[in-house]
Amino acid sequence: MHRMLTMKLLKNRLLLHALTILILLFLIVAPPFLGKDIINILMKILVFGLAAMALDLVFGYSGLWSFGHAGIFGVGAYTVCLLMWHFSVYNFWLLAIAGIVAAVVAAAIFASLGLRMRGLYFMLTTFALGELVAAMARTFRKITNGTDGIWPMRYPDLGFGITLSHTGLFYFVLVVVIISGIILFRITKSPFGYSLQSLAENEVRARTLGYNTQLRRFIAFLISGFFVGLAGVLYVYTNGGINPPDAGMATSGLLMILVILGGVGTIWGGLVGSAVMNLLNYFISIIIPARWPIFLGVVFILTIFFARGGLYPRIANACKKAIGYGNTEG
Amino acid sequence: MEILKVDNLIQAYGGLEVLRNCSFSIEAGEKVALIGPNGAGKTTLLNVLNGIIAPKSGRIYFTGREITRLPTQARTNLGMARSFQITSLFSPLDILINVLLALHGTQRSSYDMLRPIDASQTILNEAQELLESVGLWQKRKMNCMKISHGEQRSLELCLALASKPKILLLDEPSAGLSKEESEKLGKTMRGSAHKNVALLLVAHDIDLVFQVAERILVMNQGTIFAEGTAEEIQKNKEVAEIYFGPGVKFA
Repeated sequence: MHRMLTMKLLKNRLLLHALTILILLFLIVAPPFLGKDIINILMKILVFGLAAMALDLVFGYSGLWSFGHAGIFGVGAYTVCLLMWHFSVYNFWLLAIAGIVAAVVAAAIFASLGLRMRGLYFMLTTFALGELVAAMARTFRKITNGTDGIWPMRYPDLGFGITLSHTGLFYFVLVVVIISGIILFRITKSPFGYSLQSLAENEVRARTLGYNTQLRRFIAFLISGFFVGLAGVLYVYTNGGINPPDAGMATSGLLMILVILGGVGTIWGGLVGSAVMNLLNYFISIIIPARWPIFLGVVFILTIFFARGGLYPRIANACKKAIGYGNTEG
Repeated sequence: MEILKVDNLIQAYGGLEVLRNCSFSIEAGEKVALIGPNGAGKTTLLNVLNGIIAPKSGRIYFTGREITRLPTQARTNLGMARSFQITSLFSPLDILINVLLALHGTQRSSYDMLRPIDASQTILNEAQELLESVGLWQKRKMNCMKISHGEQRSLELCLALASKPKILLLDEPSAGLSKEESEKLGKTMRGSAHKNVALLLVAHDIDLVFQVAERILVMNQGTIFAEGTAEEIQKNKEVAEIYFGPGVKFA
C-alpha cells in the first residue's frame, strides 16, 4: 500500500522532473555555444526569478503583500556598487556579504514599520519605503551618481586570482539561484514554513496553537530580504551596474507580476514567471520593437482569465495529465 | 488546587457591557460547563481568558500566575488550549499537516526551517495517536475542508489537545453534530486520556453538558449568577426564569 503510493507519486511527478532535467541539461551544455545577448537574457531570468521566489515567501506564504521588494533589492545592489566605486573593493565574497547584510537590515526596517499594519496598508508602507530608496538613489548625486546610476561593468573576483568570464558568470548565477530556490522551497515544507501559511490563513487560530505570529512574519521578511539582497548583488554583475528605477515601484510591481504569473505560493513559480516574461519580452521585441508593455498586459490578463493560480501549477498539472493521472490540485 | 481563577472581569464594547464583574475559578482536572442564553457573554469570556481580547479591568490567574495581559501564544505555552465555535482549521492544508502544526506549536522545533514538518518520528507518532483516537488517521492526506462537518469538529478537538493542555476551553464543540456524534464527543471528553485536563465547556447542547460537566456555571448579562451540580441547576428557579422568562410556573 505504502509502496504503491510512493510509486504513484513518483510517476505523477515523472514528466515534470524530466522536463526540469531537460531544461537544466540545456542550461549546462548550451551556454558556450550561445550568443552573449541570449546569455544575458538567461541571467536576467535567473536573477529576477530569484528575487521573485524570495518575494513569494512573504507574498504567497505569509500573506504580506510587499510592494517594496525592489527597494531591498536596490539596497543590496547599491551597496555593492558603492563599495566598488568609492572604496575599490572588488572581492566578490566581501561584496556579497556587505550587500546581503545591508539588504537584511533594510528588510528589518521595512518589516518593523510595515508589520504594524496589515493588507493594503502594509502594501502602501512597503511601497513608500521602496520609493524612498529609489528617491535617495536619485537625489544623493555625489554618493550615488544620481539618475545616471553606477556602472562598474565587472565580473566577480572570487579571490585566489580567479575572475569569472561571461559564461562563467552565467554558471555561477545558475548554481546560486538553484541552491537558493531549493533552500526557499525546503523552508516552505518545514514547520516554520507551514506556520507561515497557517498564520496567513487564520491568525487567531495560529496564535492559539502557540505560534508567535508577529515574530514569524518578521523572520520571514528577513529571510526574504536575504535572498532578494543576494539577487541584487548578482544583478550588479549580470546587468553591469544599477540605476535608481531598478529600486523603484516599476521593479517592485514587476516582481509581483512574476510571482502572480508563475504561481503564488509555489516558490518555483517565481522562476517560471521570470522565464516566460523575459523570453516573451525578448522574442516579441525582435518581431515588433517597443510594443512590449502592451503584450505584457495581454499576457497578464490571459493568465488571470485562463490560468488563475499561475503557470507553474498549470504546467505541473498538465504534466501529470499527460502521463495519465487525473487532476491533482495542490 | 485552583488552575484558573477569574477575578472581577469587566469588558465593554462601546457602551455595551458584555462582562460585568465576572468571577469564578476552576480546579485542576475539573470538568466545568458554562451555559447561558444567547448574548450572555460566553464567547467573549472565552476570548478574554484566551487573550484574544484584553479585558477592561479584572484579573485572570492561570496555574498560580497572573496572565491578564499575556498574549495568546504565551497562554498556550503555559498549557491553555482552545477550540472554536466556528470550525477553525487551516483550509489549504491536509489533515495531517493541521495536526503536525498543532503539535509543533508549543515546541522549539516550530522554528525548524530546513527539516520537513513530518521529519520527527516522535511527533508523527503523536499525530497518529491523536488522529486514530477520532478515526481520521486513514484520511490524513485529505484536505481538511473535504471531510464531513462531524470529522472537522473532531479534528478541531485534536488541534486543541495537541499541545497537551492543562485546561481546555471548548466553544460549542458539538455545534452542528448529530446526537450520536455529540455523545461520542462527550465520551472522548470524559475519556481516561483526558482525566487530568480541566475543561471549560461552553455549550447549548444540554445533553452534552449533563454528560460531561461535574459543575455548571450559569451566565446571564455578563456575569456568573448561579453555579452548582447538574441537579442543583435544574432545580434553580432563577435559571428557569432566564431561559423561559419570569412568571413561568413549573410543576
